Amino acid sequence: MHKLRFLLVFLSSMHLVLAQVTVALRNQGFPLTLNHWYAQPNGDSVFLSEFKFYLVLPSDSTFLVDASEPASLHLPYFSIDDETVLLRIGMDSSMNTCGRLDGAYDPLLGMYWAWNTGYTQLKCKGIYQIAGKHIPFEYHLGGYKYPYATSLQKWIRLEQNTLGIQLDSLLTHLPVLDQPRMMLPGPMARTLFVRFTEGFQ
Amino acid sequence: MKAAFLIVLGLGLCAITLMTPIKDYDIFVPQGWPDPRYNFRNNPLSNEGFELGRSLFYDPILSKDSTVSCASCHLQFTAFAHVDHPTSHGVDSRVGKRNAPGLMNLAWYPFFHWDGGALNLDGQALNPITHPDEMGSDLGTVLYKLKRQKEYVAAFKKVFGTEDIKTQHLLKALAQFTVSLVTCNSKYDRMKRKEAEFSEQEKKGYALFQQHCNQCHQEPLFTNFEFKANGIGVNTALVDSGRTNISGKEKDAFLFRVPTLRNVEYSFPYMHDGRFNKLKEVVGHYAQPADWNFPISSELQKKKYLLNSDQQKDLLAFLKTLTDKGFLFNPLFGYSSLVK
Repeated sequence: MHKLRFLLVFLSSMHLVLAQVTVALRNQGFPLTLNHWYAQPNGDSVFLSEFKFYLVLPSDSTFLVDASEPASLHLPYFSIDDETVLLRIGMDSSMNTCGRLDGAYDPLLGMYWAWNTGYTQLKCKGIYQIAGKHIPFEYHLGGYKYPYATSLQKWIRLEQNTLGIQLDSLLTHLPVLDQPRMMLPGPMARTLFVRFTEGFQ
Repeated sequence: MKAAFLIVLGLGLCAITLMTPIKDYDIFVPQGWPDPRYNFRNNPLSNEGFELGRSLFYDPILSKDSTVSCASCHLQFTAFAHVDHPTSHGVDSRVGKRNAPGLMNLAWYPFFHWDGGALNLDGQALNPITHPDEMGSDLGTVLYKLKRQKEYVAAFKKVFGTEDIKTQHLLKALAQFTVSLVTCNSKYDRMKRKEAEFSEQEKKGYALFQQHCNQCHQEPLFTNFEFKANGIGVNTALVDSGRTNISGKEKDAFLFRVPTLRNVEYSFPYMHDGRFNKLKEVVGHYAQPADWNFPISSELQKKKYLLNSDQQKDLLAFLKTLTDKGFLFNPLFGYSSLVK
């Protein structure tokens, strides 16, 4: 208790605040709910059955956000400065190859690539409706080598300790007709991942 | 105590007095060998950890229907490679695309698999456990099955201090066994330590080896850990493009990791697709450049050497000096089960 009080005093002297941040995933202005159809502005519809991704917090701890696990939307406490925070979206190369297998790195979480050391940084699975046709899609976006690394550091402004992530850009431009499945690192995986990061406000 | 265990167990019959103990490592490094790459600080070896890993290695509980173990494709007497089949088979008699490589001196490996896809020995085992053509299981099922075996629960608690068996415990236990598979007491090693002498034929073969093979199969590990194409041509039945699957680079198409030649006499069949059953066929392939097919790495293209029949026999005689029977038949690496 004394330690926490000391930490809070120390942080306040640095204009830092210890906060628990909640992740709010949204699509077209609505909170994201899995297994639910969303109308996209281009007339298509999208249905997500799986959506999870890695964040690296300022404390350098790696955290898996999983839309199917409400508890995972509440990030562990970390310090923020005036409602802004520097986050890494997706693990960097050293995190991918460090050989840790515990916590967020546990392959049991389904993000580890057994055939090629490293982790999927964003998993997105569902059905896309285009011109009346249902197209199942599955994207495992990962890779840690230049120029196709799926890891990006970004200053992010929070609103009342909420990290808003808009999925509009990602979900409106899924290349389901040409590439409904993506399991390898490469230019398209990188492009989709960057679109995802653009949704961090 | 730990060091004493590992000298006897991990290194089998290697000459203890001639090894260099290195601080911070949990194994002893044979004299003249490079430092191991395995991070022993993350997984300190112990008697109990080795025995747990050994039991897991031989236990089909890791496969989806409890029929296939690691040892099904990695048999001790063939240097932990897979005999009789060009490529390995797993659950439901499914056949994979590659020849199971031997498991030896893994502490020195910078990566694993024919394409170098696995960078950590601890994580490597995930691939065979979950691959549909190998054990076809999933981690959740494996952990569930292990937790139902009281012998395993007790053994994991002894090694890792918890009865709650996690992925990292399973994989680290397996690595405790596989990283201990050190082979360094072949006739070649004893010759290097001046404890044995080569015959005239072996000497000639060694000279040929140094002239023609050593660039890729570098001593003392007998591999340079690079990816090469050796002129055997593309196996159209398997459609395996090798390293390029991992790197994504076109220049890596059909390249495969240079394998170690230690215990090569016993680790048949040969090549990534197991196309050669006999060592003399392998030597015959390298001896006849006219028969090589695309792709071929530059080292081989430059050489274009021919070996006559006597030279091939000499080279074979040398390759057989790399056999370490103390490793191949060491009972400490053989079948074991914690589950009664």
